[in-house]
Amino acid sequence: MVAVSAIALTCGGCALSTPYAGEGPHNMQVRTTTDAGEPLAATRAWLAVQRVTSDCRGEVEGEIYLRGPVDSLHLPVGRLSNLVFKFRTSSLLSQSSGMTSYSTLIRPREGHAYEATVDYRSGLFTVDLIEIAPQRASPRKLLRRDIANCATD
Amino acid sequence: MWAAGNRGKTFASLRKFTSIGIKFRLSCGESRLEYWGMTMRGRATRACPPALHACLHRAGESLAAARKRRSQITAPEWLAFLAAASVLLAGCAATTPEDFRQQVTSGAFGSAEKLDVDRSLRDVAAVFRERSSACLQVRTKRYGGPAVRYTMQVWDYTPTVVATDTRVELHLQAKYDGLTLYDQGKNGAYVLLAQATPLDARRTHLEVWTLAPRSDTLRDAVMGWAKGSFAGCPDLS
Repeated sequence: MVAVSAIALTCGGCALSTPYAGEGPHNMQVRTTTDAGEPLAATRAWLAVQRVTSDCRGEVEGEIYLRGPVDSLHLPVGRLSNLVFKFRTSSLLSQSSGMTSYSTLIRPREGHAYEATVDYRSGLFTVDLIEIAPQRASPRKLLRRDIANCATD
Repeated sequence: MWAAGNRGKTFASLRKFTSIGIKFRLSCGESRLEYWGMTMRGRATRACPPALHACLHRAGESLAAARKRRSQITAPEWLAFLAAASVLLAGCAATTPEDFRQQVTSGAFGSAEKLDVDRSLRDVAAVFRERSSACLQVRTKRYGGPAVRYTMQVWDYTPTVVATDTRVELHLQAKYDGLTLYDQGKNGAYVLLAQATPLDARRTHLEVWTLAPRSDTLRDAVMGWAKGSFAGCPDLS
């Protein structure tokens, strides 16, 4: 029974519905660290990339596991994407798991690189996104933008 | 807690079931309700969802698990559970900030914290607006229960920032996506209220009332935003 519970909690619902297959040179790196902060508990993180429709809704293009320490992917240049970072923390002790998410819009520019730092620690998490110019000038921190306001971008 | 914290007790109660009588005991924090045959007694709790809701949800899961294991436990037990839950939850959802403040102050499920921060009221208002939009406007999912009956709860959180020249309030409401035995209101029951008032031009007094299954992280995040020491989000799942 314990083994069945363990499998259900750690792997239940963890199969990616649509693996992300962004084709092109990788222009984004994601640095991920997770620590559930409890014994016999673990936090998984993954990223859903959504294309943004004209009425500011997100349509899933695909998802990628953030296995860490560094994952990379290609984001379409010149158009809006909605990045949805998802966290799922499972605990064997409580036989439960919880899932939450954080999203932000991004419009990648030609020749620029992007770096996301994702840190989940004991129920608190941060997602920081920076843009690095081609000549490696000082990186620019990107502020979070909500998909509901996509028309103003 | 009847179901989550003392499953042995749960099953001990269930073993008392017979074909002619039902005993059902539900105890969440201070609230207790007993059901025996056709007689039901109890008192409505002042606590609010999702804390109480989670408790009742786990009670339901335990009953389901017991039902799987003991074929003689059938519909009457579910009816008893629903009756007990109805009484416990009747009128318990705080749908105004003032109700919520009173519930937390007098109840067993919440906490109240006070703090002075070295930031102006305007800065606190700005960070509440930005962070609440980024972090608290979320839908969370919670999966749990024994492997034989894996269940899911979905909660929609709605933050609101109310600002005047002399006060800034951050409200957070949680609405259960599914059938409930209580009136949730439009955006659900209150789970957090943070009130900031100016001490002087550069300092602000903050009071935070919370009520949530993971209220520590929520409270820590809101206080961190106000202090300027944390710029991330709490996991509300």
